[in-house]
Amino acid sequence: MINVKNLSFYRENRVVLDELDLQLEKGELVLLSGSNGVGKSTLLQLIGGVLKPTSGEITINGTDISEMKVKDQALLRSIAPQRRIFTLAYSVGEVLHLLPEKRRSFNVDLIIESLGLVEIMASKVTELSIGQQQRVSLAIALIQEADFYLLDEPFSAQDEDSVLNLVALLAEIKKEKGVMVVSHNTGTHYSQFDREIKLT
Amino acid sequence: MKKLALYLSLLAVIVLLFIASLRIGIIHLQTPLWDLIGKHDGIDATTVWDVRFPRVFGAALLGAALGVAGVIAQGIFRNPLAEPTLIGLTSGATLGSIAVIATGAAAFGSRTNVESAVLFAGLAALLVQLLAPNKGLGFLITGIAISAILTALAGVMISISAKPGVQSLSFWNFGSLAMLNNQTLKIIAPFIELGFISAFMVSRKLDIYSLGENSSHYMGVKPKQIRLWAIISLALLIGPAVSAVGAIAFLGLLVPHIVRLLVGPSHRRALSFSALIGAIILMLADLASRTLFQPHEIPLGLLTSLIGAPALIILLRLRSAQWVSHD
Amino acid sequence: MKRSVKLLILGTALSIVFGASAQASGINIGPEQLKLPVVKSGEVSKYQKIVALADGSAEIIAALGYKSNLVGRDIASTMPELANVPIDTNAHQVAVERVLSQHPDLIFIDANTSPTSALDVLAKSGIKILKIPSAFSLASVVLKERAIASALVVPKAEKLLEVKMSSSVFPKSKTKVAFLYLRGNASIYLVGGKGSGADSILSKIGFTDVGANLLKTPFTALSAEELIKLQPDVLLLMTKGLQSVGGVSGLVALPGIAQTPAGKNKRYVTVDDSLLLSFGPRTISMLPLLQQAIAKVAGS
Repeated sequence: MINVKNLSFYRENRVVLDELDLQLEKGELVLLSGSNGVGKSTLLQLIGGVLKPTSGEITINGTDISEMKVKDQALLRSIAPQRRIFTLAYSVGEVLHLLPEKRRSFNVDLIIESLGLVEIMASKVTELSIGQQQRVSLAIALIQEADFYLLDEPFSAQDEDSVLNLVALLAEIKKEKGVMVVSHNTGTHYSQFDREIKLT
Repeated sequence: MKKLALYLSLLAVIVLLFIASLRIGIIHLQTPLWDLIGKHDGIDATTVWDVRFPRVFGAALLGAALGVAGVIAQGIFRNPLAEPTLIGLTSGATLGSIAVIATGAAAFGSRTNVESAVLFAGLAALLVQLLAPNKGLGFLITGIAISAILTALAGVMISISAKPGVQSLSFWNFGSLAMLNNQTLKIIAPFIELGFISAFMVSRKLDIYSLGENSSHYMGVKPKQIRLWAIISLALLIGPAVSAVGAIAFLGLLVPHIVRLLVGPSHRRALSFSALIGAIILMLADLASRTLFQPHEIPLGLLTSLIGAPALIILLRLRSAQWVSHD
Repeated sequence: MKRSVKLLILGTALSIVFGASAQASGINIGPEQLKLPVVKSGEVSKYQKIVALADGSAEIIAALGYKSNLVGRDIASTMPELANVPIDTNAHQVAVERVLSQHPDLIFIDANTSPTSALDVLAKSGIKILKIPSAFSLASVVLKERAIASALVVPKAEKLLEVKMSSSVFPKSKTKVAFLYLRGNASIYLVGGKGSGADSILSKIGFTDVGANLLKTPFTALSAEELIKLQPDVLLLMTKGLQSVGGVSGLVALPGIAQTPAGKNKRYVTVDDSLLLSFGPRTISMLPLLQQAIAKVAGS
C-alpha cells in the first residue's frame, strides 16, 4: 500500500499541498482529479521521491520512502511523468528495453499491443507524433515491474480509441497491482475507476 | 550480425594501421617487421619498439579514450556539444599537469603528474556543474568560461615557471604524441583502463538517464550519482591523455556523432564502437602528422581540428546527428 | 575494453628493457675558461673615443689592442676583460643620452642595432656612424675584423685575427656530432643543420656535423626518427639549454635521444649560451678547448 500521511509541501513559502492523506492499495484503479495547479503533479513527484515533503510522510508497503534507496523505490512503484524527453533517436523497441530483463513486467506484449506500438517498434522515438511519444512514455512506465503504477495525465494527447484501450489495459493491470491515474479530464470513462480522489 | 561484422572490420583496420604505422617513417627499415619481434638492438629495432611503438600504441589507446569520453560527456550532459574540451575537463587536466610541473612537485610524465591531471579534470567538471544555471546553453557557456579561466591560469604558470618540462602553451593546447615513450605509456595506461571499465559500467544507466532527470529517478537511476560516476570516468580518461600528450581537439566531439550514425544511440553499443573509431582516427592523424611534411611534424591537435571540424559540419548538415534539442 | 587489455599486455611484453644505463660523460665549457686572444699591430688609430654598438664589436676592438679607445660597448660583448667599459644599451635598445654624454668620435652599428629613431638622433649630432656586417659563422668573423680595422685606419690589424685563426690546425676525426638547440620550458627542441653556425665550428675543428650533412635548413624541429637516422656519437649543447630540459635525465627522455649512440652513453659537451654562437675573437680561443672536450667525451 502507498500511504500518504499528513503530507504538506511548500514551494517558496507558498502552500502547494496541505496536510494531505491518501492511500493506494493493490487491486484498485484510482483517479486523482482536480483542476490545474492544485498540486497533482507535485504529489506524484513527492511520491516518486524527486521532491522532499515539507512535513508528513509517504510509505510504500510500510517503509518510509525517505529511508529507501532510489533503486529500491523503483522496484515498488513506477511513475509515468507528464512528459519524457526524447533527445536521442532510439527506436521504440530500444527505448522499451532499457531496463534489464529481470526488471520488466511479464505482460510486455500486452502493453505494447494495447498501446498500439506494434507497428512503430522500429520507428525512431524522436520522429513520432506527440500522441505516439506519450504512449511510448506510458509503455516505459508500465513495463517497469512494480507493485504500484502512477500515471501523470496519460490521456492528454490521446484520441478516443487510444483512451479506451489504455483504460482497458489499466483495468487488466490493476487485478494484481495498484494503479493511480492523475487527470483533470477523464472524458466518458469515469465508470472504469474504483474511486476518485478530488484534490482541491 | 551486421554490427558484429562492422565491429570486426573496424578491428581489422586497427590491426592494419598498427602494422603500417610501425613500418612507415623517416627511417626506412632494412629488416622485415616480423624479424624485429623480440630484438632490441640496432637502429631498426630501437626505431620500431622505442620510437614508433609507444606512439602508435599511444594513439590507439588515447584515441579510444577520447572517443569513449565523448560518448560519456554527451550522454551525461544530454548535450550534443558537451565535449570534454568545452566542459572544463581538458583545461582542468592541463592546469593540473602544469601546476605540479611548474611548482617542481613532479616531473613531466610522472605518476604524480597524471594523478594531478585526473584530480583537476574532475574538479573542473564538478565546478562547471555547480555553477551552471541550467543544463542547456547556460551549461555550455559556463563550461567555456571555466575553461578559459583554467587555461589562462595554466598560461600564467607556464610564463613564470622556469622548471624544465613545463612545455609551452602550444604543446598543451594543440597536443603532440612526439613526447610519448614506453615509460609514460606504462604510467597512464592503468588509469585509462580504469576509465574504460568505469565508463562501461555507467553506459547502460546513461540510456535511462537520457530520458530526463525525473524519469531517470523514477526508473531507479539516481541522477546525482550517475553524474558523479560519469565525471570520475571522464577524469580517468581525459586526465592521463592530457598529461601525456596535451589537448587533442574535436575527437571527443566528432567520434560520438559518427558512431551514432553507424550503430544508433545506445550508449553501451556506442561505447565499444567509439573506442574503435577514436583509435582509428587518432592513429591516422598521427601517421599523417609525422609523414606528411617530413622532416617537420604537424601538431596533432591541428590535424584533428582540420579533419574533425569539417567532418562535424558535414555530419550535422546530414541531420544525422540524431539529437533533438529541447532547450 | 578486452582488446585494449590485450594490447597493453602485448605492449608491455614488447617494450624494450634498456641495458644498464651508461655513466654520463659530459664536459662544460664556460666563459671563465677563455682568454681574449689579444694581437697588436702597434698602429695608432685615428679615433680615440669609440662606442661599439654592433653585436660583439667591442670584443674585436679589444682583441686588436684598442681597448683603451673604447668608451661604450654593446650588451653582447660580455667578456670579463671589458667589465669597466660602460654598456650603452638598455637591453638591446640604444641609450642615446648615455652615448652622447661620452662624446664619441666613431660609433659601430650593425643590422641588429635599434631603434632607428635613436640612430637618427646620433647621426644628426654629427658623430661618424659605421655599419659593419654581423657574424653568424667563423668566416664572417674575418669580414668583421677587416671592416673594423679599416674604419679605425689601422691596415696592419686587418688580418691579425684571421692569421691566428688559420694558423690553428686541427686533426680530422671520425666522431659524429649533432648540435641541439633546446629551450625546454618553451617546448623548443631543434637540431642544427646547414648554416646553424655550429656547423662552421665543428668542421673547423675536424668533426662531422651530422645535422649539417642531412638537414638543409639551419634548424629543424627535433624528430625522434630524424635523430636516430643521424646517429651522433656526441651531442653539442648550450649550458642553459641542457638545464632547461632538466639536465641529462631530461635530455635522454626527449624523443629519439636515448636511441642514439650519444644518448645511450650520455656523451655530450655543453658550451656557455652566450659563447657558442656569438662569433668573435673568443671563438678562436674556444676552438681548441671544444676540440679537446669532444675528443675526450667521444673516447670515454
